[in-house]
Order: sequence, then structure tokens, then C-alpha cells
Amino acid sequence: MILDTSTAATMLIVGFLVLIFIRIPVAFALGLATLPVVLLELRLTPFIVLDRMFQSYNSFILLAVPFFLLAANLMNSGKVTDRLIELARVLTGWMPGGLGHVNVAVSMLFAGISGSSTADAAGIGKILIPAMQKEGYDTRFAVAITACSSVMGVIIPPSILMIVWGGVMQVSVGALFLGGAIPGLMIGLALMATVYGFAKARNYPVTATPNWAEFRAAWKGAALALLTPVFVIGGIVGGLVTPTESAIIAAAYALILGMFVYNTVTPKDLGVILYDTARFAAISLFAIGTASAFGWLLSFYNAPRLIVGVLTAWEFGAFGTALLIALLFLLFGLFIDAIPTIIILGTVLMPVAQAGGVDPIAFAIIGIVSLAFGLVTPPYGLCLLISAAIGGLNVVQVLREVVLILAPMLVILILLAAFPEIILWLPKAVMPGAFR
Amino acid sequence: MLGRYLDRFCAGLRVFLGVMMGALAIPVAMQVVSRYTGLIPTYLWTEELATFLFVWIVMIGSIVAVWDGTHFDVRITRDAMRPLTRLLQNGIVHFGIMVFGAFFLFYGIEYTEFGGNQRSVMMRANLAITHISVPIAGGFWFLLSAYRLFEVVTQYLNRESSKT
Repeated sequence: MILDTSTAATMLIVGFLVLIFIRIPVAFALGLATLPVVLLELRLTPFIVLDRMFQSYNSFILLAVPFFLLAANLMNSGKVTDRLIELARVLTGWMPGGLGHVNVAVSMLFAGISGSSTADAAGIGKILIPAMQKEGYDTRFAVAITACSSVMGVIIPPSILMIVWGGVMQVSVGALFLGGAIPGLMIGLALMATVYGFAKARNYPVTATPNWAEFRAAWKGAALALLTPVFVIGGIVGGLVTPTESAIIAAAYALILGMFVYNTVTPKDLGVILYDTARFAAISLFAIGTASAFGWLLSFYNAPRLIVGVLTAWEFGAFGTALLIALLFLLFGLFIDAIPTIIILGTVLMPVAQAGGVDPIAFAIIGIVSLAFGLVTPPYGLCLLISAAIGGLNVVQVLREVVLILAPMLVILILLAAFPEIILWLPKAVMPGAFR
Repeated sequence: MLGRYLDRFCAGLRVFLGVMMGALAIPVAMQVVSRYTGLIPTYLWTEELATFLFVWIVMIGSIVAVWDGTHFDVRITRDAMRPLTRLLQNGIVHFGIMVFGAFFLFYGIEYTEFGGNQRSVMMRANLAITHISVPIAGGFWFLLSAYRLFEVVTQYLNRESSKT
């Protein structure tokens, strides 16, 4: 049988959604959805599913993913997080809602080092959620602000999602890193303004104003950890290292700090950290493989061209196209992990963005910021699940706080769609070559 | 009894996974050291070796995650409360993984033969060394999910028999 575009696309997408609905894990649902198509289609062999998966792993840039995760896990185990929290405390803790600001500020610092939102939620949540509960903060607020601020991990460079995006869609990772910097800072400031609002409404306490000695000690304690973004972002943007090389340098640096400088990581800890990293990386990357096979089949049947045809006929213009892209990523991000979404939806929407006049860097950042919302929205909000588990709450119990905290972030997403120069200004200024 | 063996087997895989992750760092680190310090010569095979290890980490990690039930899933529907609907809800997941495992096992054998006819560019390694991870992973997904399916069916039957 030879399947036409609409039949094949319907089989793939409906099949996938049904499998997800009955709780088949996402990676397997993506793979299983391809089976009826490859078994029925005369022009294809089932072999193609395996081959496309393997082709996707044959990418040196994807090797950066486990190493950035390793760096983040080493930072958490090496008590680097504690030092960042201390720095965030002296910088922001004196404001109304002190620990809430500390939570946001430390996520911004951690985001500049790790690139992983889940590591951020787990590492910071374990320390700050109990601390906030102890100081009289509502647990629901503590959980919600930890989860929402952790999403900056994938927006503020370095970012694992940007590395995957750059590798899959052949966009400069350095330019993506620079493109994420200003939106990340804007989101951080918006979150701090929201914390301020909550603090005023609910009379949250301030922590003691730090004296000069504390201030100096906090900077000194965190200084070595704060050098990481200099190696990573500076190295990639300066063209000195590839993303994978920068990831291994970050991991090696975190290892040296943990084992030899701070003496907080033992050889036994290292074994556990290596296993945890491999396990989480394998789960994410396995989904990349099946998503690649799924995405390849959609392309084989020209589904992206069909979608481009329909969407460009509506003549949305650049702003409308950017909003539509954001909406689709938000929708997909609710249900699917960010990495498979980038491979499936990102590759399909890339020509739509080009046709709509959206710059590839702006397209990527709008996509990644939209996907970041998915990390804190049920049913598949990993960061929210992690934070809620630490706070001992059900996800549904914190939804009201999450919505209130996300509202200003949504305004920023709309601003990015309306004024992509917010994203493009820094990469254009530093890496003009990426735009030629 | 079989469950205990499978548990031990997966515990062994966890250790192996950690070792592989450590091993993965070596060729990538060698690349960085040779490129920036000149302390060691530039080896062209490091990238290939890293990719081989990477593939095995993904496949072994996927096996362990099937046993632990830690692959990402989406819970749009509520957890079933009745024993029969719970059996269906959990059983169908294990059955789905078994189907994909069977597919990987069946076509993976042919895929390994295909890899066996190819050699890598730098190391001149027979590509069956990575392609064989496909039927191995498929076989273990099938086995581990079949055992999990057996467990949920047994739990259901025991509950039903204790009622009567």
C-alpha cells in the first residue's frame, strides 16, 4: 500500500496521541506510532525506524547533553548550590519576601552554570523549600516559585535545550546562548516583581540585611563556581570550543571543585552521580531517537510542507507567526518532553518561521521559552512535579500560585514575539557572522 | 524468583551504566586535551569511540528505565481505582512496550547483520558492535515488560481469589 500525506500524518499523530492517552511512555509512544505506517507502506522498510534512531545518535553535539547534566549533578552534590544560595541571599534576601527572591536569584546563577532546569529544581528545592516553610512562607508558594524560577535553567545560557536545538536545526549554539540571555534576565526580574507582590500581600518576612563581611564571604565562596559560565559561554561564543567540549570542561571543572577544592564529593558519591547522569541522559536521549524516526516519517510524507502551505495561506505576518509558534510549543510542551518536541515540532515549524519572516534565532528562543512553560504546567511539568514532591504537595494544590507566577512570564513571551530584537540585539552585536 | 534475578540483573546494569558514563568522558576529554594543550597527540578515533559508548549508554539506560518504570509518561487520566481498570491501565503500558521490544528484537537482528557488513571510518570497527544493542535492548524491554505484566495480572488474580 502507498499512503498519501494526510493518511500517513493522521495515522502518526492520532496514533501517538492515543498511545500517550493510555499512558504509554512518550519515547515508546513515538516509536509505536510509526509501526503501522512502516509496516503498511510499500516504499519503506521497518528497518528505517531503527536506522533513523541510530542516525540521530551519530551527532557529536548531542554528547554535550550528558556532560552538562553531569556538571549540574556534580554542582549539586559538591554543595556548590549552597554557595550560590548564600550569594543570592546577600544580594536579594533583604528585600520583602527575601527567600523568594533568593530562590529566583539562585536559579539565575545556577542557570548560568548548569543548563538543566530539572537539576535546578531538585538541587535548589531541596534546600530552599524547607527553609521557606521554616520561615513561615506558604508551602504552595515555596513550591511554585521554586518550580517557576527553575525554568530559567533552559533559557539563561548555557542551555541543554539550545544545544539540542542548534544540533538538530543547524543554528549557531553561541548565537542561541546570547539570544537567551536578555529574555532570561527579563523573566528573572519579572519573577522577582511577582515575589515582591506576593510578599506585600501575604506579609512574607525579609532575611537579615547582610553586613560587609558576609557580603565579601559570599562572593568569595561562590567566585570559583561563577567562573563556569565564563568558560562555557565565553568558549562557545568566542569560537574556542564546541558545545560538547565546553560541556566536558564544565563537568571537569565541577569535579575538581567538588573533589579537590571544596572536598564535598567522595569517589563513592562520584559513582552515584555518574549513574544518575547516565540514567537521566539515556531516558531523554532515547526519546530523541524515537522522535527522530517519527519526525523523519512526517517529513517523508511532506507533512511539514502541507502545514507550511496551510499556515502561510493565512498570511499571519511575522508577529502572528511568532505567536502561533509560541502557542504550538506551549501546547506540545504541556504533554511532551521538551527535547522530542524540538525534534518533531521544531523541524516542522522551521519552514513556517522562515516563510513568516521570523529569524531562526528568534524562532528558537521563542520556542524554548514556550517549552519552558511546559516544565511547570501539568500534566507533564517535570520541574513542578519535582518541587511539589519536595514540598510534599500534590501538583493540583499549587496550580493557583503557578498560574499567578506564570502570568508575567507569559507577557514576556508575547513581548518577545512582538519585538524579536530583544532576542536578536545581543547575538547581532557580538556574533554578527551568525546572521550572514 | 525470576523477579529477583531480573532485579539483580538491572542492579548490575546500573553499575555498568555508571562505568560507561565515566568511560564516555575519557575520549571526549582526550579530544579537548589534545586540541588545547598538545600534551597528547590528536587521535581521530576518539569521536567515534565516544559515539559508540553513547549509543550503548542510551540503550542500556532505556532497559533499566523500563524495569524501574522511569521513562517519561503523561498522566492525563486519573489513576484507576478499581482492580480491573487498574489491571487494564497498567497492563496496556507493559504490553505496548512488549510490542515495541518485539519489533526491535525482530528487525534488530537484520539490522545487526547490516551493521556487520560495515566498518567505521576511523577505527575500522565492525558496526555490529553498536547495532547489536538494538536487538539486545528490544529483547530485554520485552522480557522485563512481560514480567511486569505478569506481576500486575498475578496481583489482580490474587485479589480476586482472596475475595472468593
